[in-house]
Amino acid sequence: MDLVESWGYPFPRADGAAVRRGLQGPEYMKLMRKVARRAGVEILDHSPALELLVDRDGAVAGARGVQRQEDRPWTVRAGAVVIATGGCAFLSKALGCNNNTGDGYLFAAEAGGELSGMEFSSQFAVSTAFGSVTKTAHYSWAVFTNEAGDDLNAVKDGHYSASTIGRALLNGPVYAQLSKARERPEVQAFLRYAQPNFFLPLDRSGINPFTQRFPVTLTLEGTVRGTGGIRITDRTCASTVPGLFAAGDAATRELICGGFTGGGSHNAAWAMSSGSWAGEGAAEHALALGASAVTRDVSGAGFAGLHDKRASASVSDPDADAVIAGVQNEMLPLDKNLFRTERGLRASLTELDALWASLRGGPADANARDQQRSREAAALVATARWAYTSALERRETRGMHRRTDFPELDPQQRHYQITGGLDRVWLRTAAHAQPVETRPLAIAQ
Amino acid sequence: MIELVSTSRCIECNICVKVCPTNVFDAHPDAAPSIARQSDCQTCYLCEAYCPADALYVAADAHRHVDVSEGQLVTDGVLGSYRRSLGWSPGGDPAALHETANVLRGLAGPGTIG
Repeated sequence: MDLVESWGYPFPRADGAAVRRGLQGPEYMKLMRKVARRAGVEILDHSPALELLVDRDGAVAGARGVQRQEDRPWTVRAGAVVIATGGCAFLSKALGCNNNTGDGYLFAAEAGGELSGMEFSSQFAVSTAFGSVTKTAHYSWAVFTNEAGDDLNAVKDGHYSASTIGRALLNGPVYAQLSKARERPEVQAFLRYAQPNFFLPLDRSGINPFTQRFPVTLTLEGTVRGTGGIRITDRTCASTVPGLFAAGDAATRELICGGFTGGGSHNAAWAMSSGSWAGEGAAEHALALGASAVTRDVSGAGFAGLHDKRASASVSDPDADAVIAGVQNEMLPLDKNLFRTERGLRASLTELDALWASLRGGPADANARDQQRSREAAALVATARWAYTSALERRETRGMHRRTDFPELDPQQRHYQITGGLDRVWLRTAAHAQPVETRPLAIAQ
Repeated sequence: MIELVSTSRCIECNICVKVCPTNVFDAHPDAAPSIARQSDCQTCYLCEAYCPADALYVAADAHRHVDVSEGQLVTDGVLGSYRRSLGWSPGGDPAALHETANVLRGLAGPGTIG
C-alpha cells in the first residue's frame, strides 16, 4: 500500500492522512497501466493469447495470440509467463465476466500444469432476471418473495442464501424489493451514491426497487468468485511447470479462502498480492536463464480448438457457438450446478466429454475473432470437465460446493483435490496444509 | 446490450472501440463507430461510462435486443446518466474516491460484503 500511495493512488483523505482501507478498480487499473508504461512495458490491448510456447524440456518460454482489432498474430518469447487470465464464468454475462473463459487453465494444463479446488466453481450471484449487474451488497436490504408474495426468508445476518433463492427459482419466479430501506430516504440516497451501477438495470426499466418488487435470477460467476484455479506450489505462485506462474483469479484461492469467498475484497487483495509475488518469481526465473531465455527452440503447446496444419482434410472445423451453447447447457442450470448430484454430474460429464471429442481442430484461415472464439470454446469445455470431475469426487457439501446427495460437511474430506489432463481428465487428492488441532485455546487470565 | 451510437452526438474519438472489453464496436474512418457484434455485448456499461459525448446507450436487457428511441432517451435525460451518477462528467466528484464501503457496512448491519 505504501508503494501504491507513492505511485499516486488518489486515496480518500481524513485529517490530512490517506485512508487506505480500499481501492477502486478503475482508478487502480489506470494507475497500474501508467506505472507499467513508465517502466517500459508495452501493453497489447485486445490481443488474446491462444497458446503457450514451451521449450524442448517442457519449460514455458512465451506465448502467441492474435490482435483482434488488427487481425494479425503476435508472438512473445519470454523467460517466464504469468497466467493472469482470471477465472471462468462460462459466458454467463455476469457483470464484466465474459472475458473470463478459463483460457489460462487450458494453457496451463496443455503445458502439464495442475488445477486445484475446481469443485469450488458454483458461485451464483443474484441479479435482475433480465440484466447483467451481479452486485449483491444492496440485497442485504431486500425481501425476496415468490409469485404468491410469500417472504422466502432468504436474507440472514445481511447475507442472502443462494440455495434458498435457487430452490425457489426451480419452482417459479422470484422477486426482490429493497423494502428494508423503503422508509429511509437517506439510506436510499447513499446506496445510489455508493454503487450507481446497481441501479442501472432498474432505473432503465422504470422500476423503483424500494417500492416495487422486481424479478431476479441467479447468474453463474463460476470460478471468478469461486476459489478453484491453477495449483500453485510456493510463495512465488509458481505452477508445477517450470517458467509458469499464476496470479489472481486464474490461481487457486483455496489457500486464503478455502471453498468460499463471499465477496470481491478477498479476490482483489489476492489479485494484487499474488500478482506481485508471481511477477517477482517470474522475473527471477527469467534472469536465471540469462540470454538463453529468448533463444530456445520453442513450439506451441495448444491443440484443442486450434487449427492443426497436420490434420487430415476429413477433420471438420468445430462449431464454436454450438460447443459453447452445449457447455452452458450443463453449467448454467441451477439444478445441475448449484444443486449437484452424482447422477446429474455423470450425465453432464458424458455430454461434456462428447463436446471435447468434437474439438479436434480449429478453423482454418480464420480471422482473429473466430480463432479466439474457437479457443474459448475449448477452454470452457475443459474447465467444465475439471469442475464436474472434482465435484463428483467431493462427496460432501463444503463451501459453495453443494451435493444434494451428500448435504453435510464431512470433516474427513478436508483434503485438496488436484485435477488436470485433456483427453483423459485425472484427479488425485492432496493432504490439507495443516492437521486439525482440536485442543482448546489457552486463554490468558 | 448496447443499442445506440448517436451519430449526431458522436465525436468519432473511438474511445468506446478501445475500452469495450468484448470488442463489440468497429471503427470507421470519418464516421461514428458501428455496433458490429451486438451479441458479444456483456452489458457492462463501460462504453457509456467512458463516452465523452454521452452518445451511447446500453439497455438493461443483457440477453435480447430491444428497440430504443434516441429522441425519447434525450427527452428522459437518460443519455449520459450513468456518467453523471459516477461523477465522471465534467465537474463531477467521483464517489469512488470517497470512503463508502465502511459506511455501507455500517448502514446495512454487520457482516455485509460484496
